[in-house]
Amino acid sequence: MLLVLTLLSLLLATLDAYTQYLRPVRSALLQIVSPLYYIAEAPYSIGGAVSRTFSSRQELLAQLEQQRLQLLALSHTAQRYQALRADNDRMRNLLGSKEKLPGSVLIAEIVSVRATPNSHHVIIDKGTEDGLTVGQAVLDANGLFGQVVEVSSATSRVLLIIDKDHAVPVQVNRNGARSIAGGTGSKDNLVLESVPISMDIQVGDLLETSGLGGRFPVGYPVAEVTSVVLDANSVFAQVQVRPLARINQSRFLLVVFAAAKTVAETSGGEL
Amino acid sequence: MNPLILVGVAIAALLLSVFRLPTDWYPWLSLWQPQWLLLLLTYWGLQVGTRLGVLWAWLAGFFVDILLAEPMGLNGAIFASLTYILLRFRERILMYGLVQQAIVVFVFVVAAEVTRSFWLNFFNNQGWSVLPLTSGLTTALLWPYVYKLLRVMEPKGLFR
Repeated sequence: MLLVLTLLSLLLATLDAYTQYLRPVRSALLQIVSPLYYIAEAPYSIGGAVSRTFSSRQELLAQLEQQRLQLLALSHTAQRYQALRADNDRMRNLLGSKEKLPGSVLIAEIVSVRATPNSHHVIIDKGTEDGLTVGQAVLDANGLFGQVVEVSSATSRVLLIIDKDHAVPVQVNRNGARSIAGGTGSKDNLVLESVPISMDIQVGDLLETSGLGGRFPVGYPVAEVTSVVLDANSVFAQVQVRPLARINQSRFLLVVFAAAKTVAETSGGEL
Repeated sequence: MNPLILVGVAIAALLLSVFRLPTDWYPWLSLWQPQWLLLLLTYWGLQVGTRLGVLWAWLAGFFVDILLAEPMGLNGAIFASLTYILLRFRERILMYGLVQQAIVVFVFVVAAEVTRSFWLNFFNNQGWSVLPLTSGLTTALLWPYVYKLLRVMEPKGLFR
């Protein structure tokens, strides 16, 4: 019996790791067990609700004031954005390339968090009923947060960019130099893989998604370079970057729906 | 025997395995997460003996795989093997005191976590950490209390 079950386990694990046949099984079962996530997270969500209810008037006023200022700054940016986008579209027209269509977003709330040294993912409260599919990029208010890896009808699982299994193609915002940012399992560290020492990259550079690989839409901020170490004995520079998304604090996320025309038709390979 | 309560306890253990310590404030806590379902399985196996069976343990593990997004079959294999060993040495472990049983639980958790790390290394290419030891320690420390708690619930015919 034990032998049979162990063999079955091995078979299932192999199928799970190397093929996608088990995906529907997983999503159906995820649907069944998803209430457990809500219940298990209840202490934190109730605690949050209580602290919101009893926060003082002073705090609320201060928060309101801060948000007003933020809104003002953002609306300035938005006004500039309209003009810049029109400008950009005209220039792309002149060059004969297609206009970039902005994607739309859907707001989702985190219902459960899994954070162990080996895996970092969260469950969000949106699923196939809301049009989610595997592979969509997920942002928080500050930057790229992760990607959807598993969907059921009303909940989905999001793999975070800091997970050891995750990697995202990025480019330096300043000069377009490309690299890949891999997760390390630590919440304030990503590592750039195989950066040649000749690459122009400095501390403070902003990294954004490059759109290569077709998984993430281009141009979302990912991380900021915190240290560049050039070792004379190595052909690669050791570059540490800090993710911009507030991995531990965000409660609400944005799921990005790429505009239909800009979606690259790729095979959708696993990362 | 009241299967409904049994299912209730199993669901509670599944719930606890998804439940997280406040890792937002103290990230190091993620290393110390106890293995609730292993505790329950150990107790269950010691009490009801062969009526637990490796198949039930495997099924419980299967749901953990779904809940925690681990490779399918991983927790099933771990739980089934541990249950097998547990049932094999059941009489001996039953004779032990609570502290010795806690040590057995520690060994079980370390074995389970090391197997898990090995398996994840094989399929997903992940690293090693001290998690087996820390998690084993908290689980072993919890054993006497969980044992007594379940013991209190049991005379009402919970597990039989």
